[in-house]
Amino acid sequence: MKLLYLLRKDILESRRGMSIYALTLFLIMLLPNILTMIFSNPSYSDIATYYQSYFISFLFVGGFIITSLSFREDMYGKSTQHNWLMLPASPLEKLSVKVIYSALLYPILLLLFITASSLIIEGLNTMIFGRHYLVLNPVDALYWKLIPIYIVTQSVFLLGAAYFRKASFVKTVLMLNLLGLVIGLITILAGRIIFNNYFDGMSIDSDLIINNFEIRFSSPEAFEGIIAFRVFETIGKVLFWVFLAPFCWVVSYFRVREVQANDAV
Amino acid sequence: MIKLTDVSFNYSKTKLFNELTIDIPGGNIYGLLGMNGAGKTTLLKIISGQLYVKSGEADVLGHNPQKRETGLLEQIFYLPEEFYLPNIELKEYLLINVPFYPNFDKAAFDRYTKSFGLDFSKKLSEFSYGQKKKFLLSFGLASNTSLLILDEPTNGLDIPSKSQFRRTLASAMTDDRTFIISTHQVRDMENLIDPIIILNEGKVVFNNSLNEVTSALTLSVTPAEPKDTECVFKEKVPGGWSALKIRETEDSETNVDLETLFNAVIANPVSLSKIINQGV
Repeated sequence: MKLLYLLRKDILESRRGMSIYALTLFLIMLLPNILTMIFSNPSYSDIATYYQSYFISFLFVGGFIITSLSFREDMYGKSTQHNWLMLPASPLEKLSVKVIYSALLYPILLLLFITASSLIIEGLNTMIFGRHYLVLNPVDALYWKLIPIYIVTQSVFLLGAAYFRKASFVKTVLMLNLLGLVIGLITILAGRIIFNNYFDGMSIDSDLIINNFEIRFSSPEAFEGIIAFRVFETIGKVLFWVFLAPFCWVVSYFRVREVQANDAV
Repeated sequence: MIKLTDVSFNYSKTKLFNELTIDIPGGNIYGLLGMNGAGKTTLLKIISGQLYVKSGEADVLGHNPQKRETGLLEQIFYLPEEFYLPNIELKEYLLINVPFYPNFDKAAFDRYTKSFGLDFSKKLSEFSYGQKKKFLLSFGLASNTSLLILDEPTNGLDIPSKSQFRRTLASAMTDDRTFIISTHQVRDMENLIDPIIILNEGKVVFNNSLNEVTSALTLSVTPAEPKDTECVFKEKVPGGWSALKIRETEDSETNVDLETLFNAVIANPVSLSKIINQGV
């Protein structure tokens, strides 16, 4: 029950911002659509994927940005932090609501909103121009495959929001790039050692800066049969699907629990 | 009710409290006084769990405030000097906040807001600073929390509202509630706060009831400057000298002006506390 009260509080207090976000999204979908209908004909591929591409972009980029702002207006807000700290709910409950809001509620509401918007816009298109894009099908399996991926990946941004008091989105992206670089280097080294028998040389071309660094393996197709490769692939999947999100949530919880009045910015 | 034992706290390199100990039993309206930077707000934030002590122990209503447990938070309402109200209607504010305070009394809230003359049809953002403060005061009083913390509550209130504030606060006080009011406006709080806690240089230098003070000291205003040997503290006031003297058995009890008491404690904290506590 407490979670529902917290969720209602979050929704009511953020509804102005979310309304502006929804209106912006609606206009972004509407304007290119109308211009295309007036001045040209949409291509076949555009007709099929117009709203799909918006959903995917706003699910990931929009969702990550919204997640990154999760604590800016309460836990880290100079004027708002007092209310957040004194609100009679445990740190776990306060964090859980942020997870529910940004990881579950957001993608579902986004899917419903884009579906409803596409129905309205394409209804108008059909009436005015006699042609239309395909409306978004909310039960398309693609979206329900993407949403779990979003839930896992956005947990990293939630952790960033809990840890970085300012500019958390930018800092999280930079940290992920750094982490990617480190993991990439480790993978190259591990690959060099583990797949030594398949290693066929390494070259760095003169135009290194244009991404011409390569490691050549004698028979990449043979990877399919290597047990070690399968093991790494499985480990990677388990780490992503089972451990990544819980890890980020647990670390975020510790951060939320530790926050004090002098952390406000 | 509230017990801090050997509490130390510092902001980066600046040590604010060093082994501060204070015991605050329930059922009173405490006045927390101190100079600027004495640590009044910090102390209130430690009590409410917003700041963590570096060492020592804090016990508030049987909880460790640092854990910020729901059971403790729903028993504390803290109105800070600078506060934030979301841009929503008053009714919505109640809708989203009342469920968190199990003892909230809507009838009492209506009474308090009416006595402060607040208009329910307005959005919270349309209220002036003083009106917002009255609204939060009404909410805090109606929440019926065991501990009500008010930091400079009369700042921003107009003159009629200040007396209304005193009346409303006194009417909301019960034996099982404790109010802690941190203030510089001691004149606004006269006849309301008792006991008085005074913080100075990171220590509690005074924690006594006004009854204890008036039993031990008398206040007199004389046109001529009293001799140092005749009083424990003196200060020039319009029309003469205000002097605190040790009360003799034949002396009748006098009211003690809070401003004079505060100045006396700050000027000589050790001897004044000694005199008062010997008299108890």
